[in-house]
Amino acid sequence: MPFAFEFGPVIAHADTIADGVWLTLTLSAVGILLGLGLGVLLAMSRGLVPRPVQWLLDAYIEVIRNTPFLIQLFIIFFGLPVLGLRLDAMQAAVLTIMFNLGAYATEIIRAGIDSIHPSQIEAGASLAMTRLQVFRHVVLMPALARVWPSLTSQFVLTMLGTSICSFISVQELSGSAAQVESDTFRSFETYITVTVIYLLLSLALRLALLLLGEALFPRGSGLRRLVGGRR
Amino acid sequence: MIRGLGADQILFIVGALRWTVTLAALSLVIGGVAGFTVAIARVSLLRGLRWLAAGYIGLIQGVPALMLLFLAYYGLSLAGLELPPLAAAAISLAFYVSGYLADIWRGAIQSVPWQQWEASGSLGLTRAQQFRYVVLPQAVRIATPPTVGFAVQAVKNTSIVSIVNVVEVSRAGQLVNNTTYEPFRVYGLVALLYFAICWPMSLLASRLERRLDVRRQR
Amino acid sequence: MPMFRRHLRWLAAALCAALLLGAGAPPAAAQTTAEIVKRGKVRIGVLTGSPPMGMVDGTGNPIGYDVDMANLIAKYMGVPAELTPLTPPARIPALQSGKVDFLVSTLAPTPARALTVDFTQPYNAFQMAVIAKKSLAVKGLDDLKGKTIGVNRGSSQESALQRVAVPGLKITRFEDDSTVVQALVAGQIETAAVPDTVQADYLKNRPDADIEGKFIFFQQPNSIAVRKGSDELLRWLNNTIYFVKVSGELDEICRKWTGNPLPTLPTF
Repeated sequence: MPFAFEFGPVIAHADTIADGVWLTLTLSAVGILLGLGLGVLLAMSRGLVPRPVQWLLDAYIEVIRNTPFLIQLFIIFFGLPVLGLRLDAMQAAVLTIMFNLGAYATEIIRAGIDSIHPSQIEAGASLAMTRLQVFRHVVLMPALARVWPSLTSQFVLTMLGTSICSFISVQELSGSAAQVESDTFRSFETYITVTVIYLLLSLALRLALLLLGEALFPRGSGLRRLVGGRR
Repeated sequence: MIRGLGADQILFIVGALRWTVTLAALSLVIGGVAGFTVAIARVSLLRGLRWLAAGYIGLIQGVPALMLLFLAYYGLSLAGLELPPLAAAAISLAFYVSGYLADIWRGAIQSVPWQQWEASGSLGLTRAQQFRYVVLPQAVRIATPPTVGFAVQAVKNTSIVSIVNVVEVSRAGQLVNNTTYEPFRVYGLVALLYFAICWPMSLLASRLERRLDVRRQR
Repeated sequence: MPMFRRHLRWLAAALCAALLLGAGAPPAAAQTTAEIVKRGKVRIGVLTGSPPMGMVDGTGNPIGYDVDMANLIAKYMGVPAELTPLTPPARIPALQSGKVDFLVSTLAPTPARALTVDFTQPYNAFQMAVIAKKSLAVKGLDDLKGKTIGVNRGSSQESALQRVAVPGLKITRFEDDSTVVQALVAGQIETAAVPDTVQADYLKNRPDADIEGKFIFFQQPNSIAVRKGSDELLRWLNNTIYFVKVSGELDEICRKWTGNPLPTLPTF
């Protein structure tokens, strides 16, 4: 009997796959929010913290950016308990995503902040804006607007990267795929189905971030130019 | 059989580094050739070709490398290709590499000002000559730093090929940890090895970026 | 909105590419012993993450119960064995795509799976044990109420636990048995359901560990898997399993890796 594609057994496990989609979305959303927050915080803190602290932060960024996510996950999940710090799988996954994205986001946002010309800050100050106002309206928001396309790509990479969390028992979409595969032995059908779902998810995420960008940075003619120019 | 994290195990992990490096190098070369083709197709004058290339890039960038690896690896063997695991893994990774490199290079090609196409066209250069003598020399300058930067990602992503039977550094670490139960030291060592390869590449990328004084692409 | 249209086009093109990648895959054919013998080597898939059935030695070579079994089969086929070490998610694809002729990798012959592959008569069996830290008092399934238990994802111990449905038991799934034990040792899960062979192997290597076997909750026989339609190969393998059972060679392998004699294997 020749091997034939048969999607029925995979569709019969739709509930398992739906659970996986839900967990992938949750992980991505929480991870992206925390990672972005960390990135903004660290990018802002440059020049405000003592030198040694800055060195530590720079070292953190370099270590994260130059080691695989899988190994970071293993160290946090399997390694930290050796030092007495135990996080469950979900916590370990969220924490790893946060630290991972945080490092990349810091770099991206820093580049955005660097692109703000100092004269703009002086202009802001001369308009009697407080330091906080200057930071928010003149530095942070325009910087974020400029790097929003880069952040969008990074967020999509983060969402796709959650697939690795199944290695530590977080049963997100690719974990569900492994589960369905093992129950039915319909490997190709399972992985093709899940791949298409991932495609739809990343399209949805891109669209959502695009709309969010339009909403957050309404004066973003620069944004439109950038997004348009990237095509 | 020796258990416990001894010299044997450490050597096993360090030795697996050669597969990590080989895989990364092979997938960058194969993926580079494929990515270049896709990048040229992406800026082609033929609409259908542009679409096809855009779809390819969209597919690769829209699914996890893990899924891609699976589909490519088993797709290859279903297509009747009998490849040793290392070659199959390298080609599978090359799919992932090509999608990202194509996009980086497409951006670099498109960042060459439009007028240069017009000018060189009016000199009677064919499209191939325009690429060869006018556009690519400039695009290469722009594309070099992000390409080196992406190579770091390619090295790190070799960590997931454990699922297709290549014992590279990450899988070696897992196997050793399975018998030694020393996760912190084992994965610490693995992380250190990746860092030793990737950090110099990252430094090179940012140095190139500064020297060429090109704005960040991503 | 042009941006939206552009995204839709992107999706359409990407989906086409996905289908192209997935479709048009010619199937790997059924296998016969004659073809294998003619090729001059038999390709067998084994696991590397479930000691002592399949694992690696200090230099990365596959060893274990399944590996010995695979070599035994090759010996009777009269050709050398080419072993392909596999991870659990890679087993079936490797078989279906023809990378291996059959799998000797502790597969439970379930009806759902038998719709996709064919199974031989069982060639080994393990008792499924629940293990935990010594201080944890669990004597039977009822004591697992409200605890977390780690299992190998998609394994028979997982489905067995789902069948008995202990109230409040949280099942946590990992890649393979070794990772389950890792998680237990790291304290990430309270209990783990693993084959007794895995438990014995762990305790043999870590006699000082704070972990002990609590109770056995069922027996899992395992079979060799072949591609659908490889009827002649399947018959030959069944014949060989019968032969090595009677000759005592299988018992020898079982004693070597588990320390126990071969249990009575059910047949179908």
